[in-house]
Amino acid sequence: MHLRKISSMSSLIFILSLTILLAGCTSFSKNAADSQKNEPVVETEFLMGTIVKISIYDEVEETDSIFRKAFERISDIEERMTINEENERSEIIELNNASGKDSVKVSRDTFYVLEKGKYFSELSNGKYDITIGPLVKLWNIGTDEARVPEETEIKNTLPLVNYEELVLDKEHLSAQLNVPGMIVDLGAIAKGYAADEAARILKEEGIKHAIVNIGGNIAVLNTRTDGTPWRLGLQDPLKPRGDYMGIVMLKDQTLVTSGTYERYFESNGKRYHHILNPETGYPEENSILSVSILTKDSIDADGLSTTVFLLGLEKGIELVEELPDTEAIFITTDKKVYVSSGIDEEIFQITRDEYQLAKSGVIK
Amino acid sequence: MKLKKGDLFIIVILVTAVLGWFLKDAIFPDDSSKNAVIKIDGQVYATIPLDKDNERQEIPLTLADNQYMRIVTEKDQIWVEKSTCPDEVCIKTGKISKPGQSIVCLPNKTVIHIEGAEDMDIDDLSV
Repeated sequence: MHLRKISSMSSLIFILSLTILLAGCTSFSKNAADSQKNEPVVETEFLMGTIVKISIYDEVEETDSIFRKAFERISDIEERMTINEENERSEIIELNNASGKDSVKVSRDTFYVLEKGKYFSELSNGKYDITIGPLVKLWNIGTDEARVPEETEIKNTLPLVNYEELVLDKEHLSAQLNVPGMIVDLGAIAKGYAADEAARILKEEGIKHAIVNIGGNIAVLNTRTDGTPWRLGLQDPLKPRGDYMGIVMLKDQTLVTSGTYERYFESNGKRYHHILNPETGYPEENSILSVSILTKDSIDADGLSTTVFLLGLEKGIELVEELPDTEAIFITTDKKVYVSSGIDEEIFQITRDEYQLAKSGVIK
Repeated sequence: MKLKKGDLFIIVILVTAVLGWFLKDAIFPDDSSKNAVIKIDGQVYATIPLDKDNERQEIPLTLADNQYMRIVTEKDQIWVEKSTCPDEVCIKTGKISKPGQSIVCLPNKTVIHIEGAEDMDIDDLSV
């Protein structure tokens, strides 16, 4: 009896210690996973009218100069391309001020972005228009002068929006707006270009694992340090910033989202968002809450996200399917999620149940 | 080493208890400790613990160019109650309380971000 008690006691202790050991093991492996995912060095600045965040995951001794170079480059691009009147170095303001008069010499940078802007305007037959500036100024969404314009104002402004009247001369690196009062607005693509340039600088500085985030436009370098893809949360368009509805996996790619929730104002109980339709002169009203573009260059993703938004669901997906290395994720007002053909569960996962993946058959 | 039914019963209970103790944290992560970090132009201005027992607390921010914001915390929530910014997107964002959420006021270069037992499932956010 006594002996058996001991043996059962010892077996009990044995099993208990085994359990504790096992439990210890799980917490140990958890720690190991944590240490593998090293903490990045993060710097944040307010540039281009938004928050710019750069996260470097490499273990480098000195990151200050790398951050400085990247932020200076972004700031330089902003100065050259802004239409904010406060800036005197802006080549775009110079171009706009010379509308109907002269052609203007621009830097290689600005020319490249103008070219891209015109390309997306052509690609969408003017659904996206790089000369949207007069309408943007009329609405002033995002400033304290935001208001709903009179119908006659919109009617009078619409003829000034026409990308075909923007003439680009590649040989002389010059640009001209043919009609007085025309305004080029690079707001829909300049951030993408800045993200590409910041990423390029990080690479030149030997950085291998980093994330450039310009107001939610993401460009990643390679993969996470452990070789797995980066995991980017996709903002839930109906929730506060930070609540995501899905996760997109990226490798040396870019992810740019355009949504109605980003910038807007309210007047008489109606919400007016910032994506203006160049044909009607009003914020585009279709079934899309947000569209995200996944591709190689951020300037393309940025330009395309606006273009595809304005094209609408069906024509937007059609365009994306024609472009190489380009995918799209749409969220519609009925909380359906539409994806282009190259997106599978290894690239995108919905994490919030209220969002449902629409059957591909719906898009025809 | 022959075990009686009763012994087995005790062992199972003990094992379950011990395992449960260790698994509890994994299944029900302790999200009670979280902080709201207020940053102005990239610099940390204040770190406020968000707790269910917190009384209402007002944080007035006097910013550059005569701009003003009033941030309020109560219980485990934080929100912007007043702001002189033109778009008031910060006020419209409403109350936030979950780690990972943030309120951004671009005109005032002010960000309120909740840090805590954060959802570490993502590396960054596409907005």
